[in-house]
Amino acid sequence: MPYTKTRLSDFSDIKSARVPMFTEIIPAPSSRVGMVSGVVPHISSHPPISFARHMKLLPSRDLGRTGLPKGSRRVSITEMGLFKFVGKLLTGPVQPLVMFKELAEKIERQAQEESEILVSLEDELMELKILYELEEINAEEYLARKKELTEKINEEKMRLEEIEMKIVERKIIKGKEKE
Amino acid sequence: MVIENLSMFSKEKLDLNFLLFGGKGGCGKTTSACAASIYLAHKFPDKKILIVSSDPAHSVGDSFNCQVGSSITPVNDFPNLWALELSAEEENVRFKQENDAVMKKIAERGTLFDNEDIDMFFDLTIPGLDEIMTVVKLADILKEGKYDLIVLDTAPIGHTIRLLDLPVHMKKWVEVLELMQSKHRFLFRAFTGKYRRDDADDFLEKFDNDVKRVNRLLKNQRSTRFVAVTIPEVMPVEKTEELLKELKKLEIPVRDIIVNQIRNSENNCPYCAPVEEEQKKQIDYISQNFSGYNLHYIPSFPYPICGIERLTEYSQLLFGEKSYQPVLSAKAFPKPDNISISVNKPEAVSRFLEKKALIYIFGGKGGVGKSTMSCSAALTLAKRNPNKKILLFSTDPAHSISNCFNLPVETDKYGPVGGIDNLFAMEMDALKLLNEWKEENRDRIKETFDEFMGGGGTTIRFEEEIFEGLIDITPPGFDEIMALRKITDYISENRFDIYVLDSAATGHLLRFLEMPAIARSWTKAMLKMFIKYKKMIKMSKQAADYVDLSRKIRKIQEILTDPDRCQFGVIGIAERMGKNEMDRLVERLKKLKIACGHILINLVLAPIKCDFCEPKRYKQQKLIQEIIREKSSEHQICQIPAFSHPIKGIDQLIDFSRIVYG
Repeated sequence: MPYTKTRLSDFSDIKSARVPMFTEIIPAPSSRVGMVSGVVPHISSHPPISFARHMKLLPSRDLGRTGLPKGSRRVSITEMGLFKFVGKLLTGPVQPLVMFKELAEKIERQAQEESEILVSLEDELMELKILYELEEINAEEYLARKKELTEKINEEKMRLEEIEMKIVERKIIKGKEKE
Repeated sequence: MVIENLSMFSKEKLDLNFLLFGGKGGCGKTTSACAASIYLAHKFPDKKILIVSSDPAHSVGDSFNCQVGSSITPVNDFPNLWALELSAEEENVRFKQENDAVMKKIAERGTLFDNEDIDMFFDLTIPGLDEIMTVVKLADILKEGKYDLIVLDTAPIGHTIRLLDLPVHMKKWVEVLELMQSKHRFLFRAFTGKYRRDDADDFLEKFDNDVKRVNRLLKNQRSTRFVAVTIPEVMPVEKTEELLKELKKLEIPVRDIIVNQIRNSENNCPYCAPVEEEQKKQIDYISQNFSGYNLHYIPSFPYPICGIERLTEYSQLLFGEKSYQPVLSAKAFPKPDNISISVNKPEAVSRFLEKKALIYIFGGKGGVGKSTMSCSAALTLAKRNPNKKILLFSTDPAHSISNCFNLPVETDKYGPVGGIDNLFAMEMDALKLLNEWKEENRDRIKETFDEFMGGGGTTIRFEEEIFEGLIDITPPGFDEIMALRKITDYISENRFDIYVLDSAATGHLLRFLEMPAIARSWTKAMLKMFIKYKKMIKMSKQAADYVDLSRKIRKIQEILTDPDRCQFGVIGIAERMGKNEMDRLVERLKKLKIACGHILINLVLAPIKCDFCEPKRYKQQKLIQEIIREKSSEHQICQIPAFSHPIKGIDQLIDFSRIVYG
């Protein structure tokens, strides 16, 4: 599971090696896998602080009024910023396609996250098997936990299949729309 | 037949430093080694001689008829002769005590593992310890320089070849340790600007020199001599040819061959006459095909060669001091009257195969007829169970199934044998299996490193090279683990209904039976590493493979210790040294919790009026009575008759199994 984007230095060119920037290090997808951790700055085309927000007239853009993370809620026009709003207006005629693209990306992102859950569950099952082989848990506990994890894995697999189906359906629709 | 002996070595001076005796089991290696050492000790009183046994099933003490242990012991009546029965376990403890700290230091410096991991791996038993510790001990003895001549009584062929090849492999170990230390040297130099030698460097230099010393000695044409010991029978002669080829490859000098146990009764005994006839053919073959060697012919004795007096007699014949006289008449021995054996029922042997076991194992001293017994058992089982598939396999590096069937037998995979639909055989090429495993793991290590460093990410050059090097230095017994793995695969896939194992001789059979426990401890250690480093390495295929291997090994451990699924037949011969080894085997099996219901005493002579056979039979029957007295309460004792012709080829094996198993 890759967690670095850049090539770290060899021993041989230790002096000349460029120190990798934090921004180039992507955090590990699962909290259980991270070895190198670093600050991942939030990069946005919109200014993080506007005058209204500075004066506390509007909530912070990071959390919004609802207090939910940004990805989970709809961004209102007032929060959007002028340039993005104008942009949306200009691209109005092709909005369905843009919307479709965003949706497809969202579904793909979700599938990625879901598959990571699956990997994590499978890892957990493997760990359980190892613990049983090491005689650190007894057969009873092993079987009970195995059953529980297997069920979860099957559920996740089914959910993933559904998502995949959705992606395929969207692609078909997209194909038809292009035609 | 005229037996003319050649003088073995120069009688004036002893310019040898290393004398090795090797050959197929049961040909008289130990007797020849002991006889040679007492002869040379007597002949050269100013020379200090040490006889070392490297076979895990020692018999030097039995041969001298005195107590010899794992420390160097003087041999009775000889001020300049010492003996040592090498104990790999004890030597390992000693070696660890001396070098543990420095070796751990090198491992800690050279690998990504921490102290806890290194301690865990250092506590594990290394497979093939016997061979490794023999080389280590020889290196120590040579360095000490206390002895002028070392006589080595080796294990049977397969494991001896492995031992003689080991110093070459050990050079690779030094290279890997050196690589680990180079990483430390590099980092030390990078941070401090210069490097100062420490105890790790001294250890590596010493270890390297020790290995080189043993290697140099083994290949020294002037001071080393390997003496091959054989008997004029088909299979031992074939095995000797194989041994000589291997020794040539290893550049180990061989000039002498002892042709032992030659029958020369010149009477009309229905047993001796055909044996002698067959021996003559083999002696002709030997004299034609081994003409480049000094051939030493030794007669067969109607009594065992044990104790100084008999060994002296043997050595005089061996060194040409005395020409062979047919003095071994029955007149000197009491007749075997008043001895009646009541347990010689063929149905007892037959019952051995009646239990519906999954695995049948035949084990015993070299040359007692393990291969013949296992091949004929496999044939009988195939005949009795036409709907079941039977696999006959061998894990001994020196296989004998093909020699026994006189047919080619597959090494890579199992194949049908002898035109019998449900009988399959396989002479496992454990080394090949090991090499395949190495290649597979080399790719995996690369994969793990790529994964660890994020695909084309950081290259930790040293670690990768060290890990690749570590794969190359797998210990000598590791090939047997691979063979075990293959069999566990077959069992878990239910490929066969019955398995018959033709094993190596006692010492290495015991090592093989101990192998599942060793393999399991290594697998467990690897699994612990997966748990410990689960955040860094993906628990995917490697972990799944180790879990799978651990499960299979657990399963085979359960099978081996389950009397309903595993039947062990101890094969012995009614000779004092054979009985001692058999006793030790039975004792060890008990400790390993492997049920052994049957003791099969092979090569039992029939009551024949013959000057040679009668005294021999008398001795045999006395010993059989002793065995019955000691063992019949726990074991079924069965006697298998001696045949006057070699059992070779499918037809003779079928005849033999009909007589033995009914």
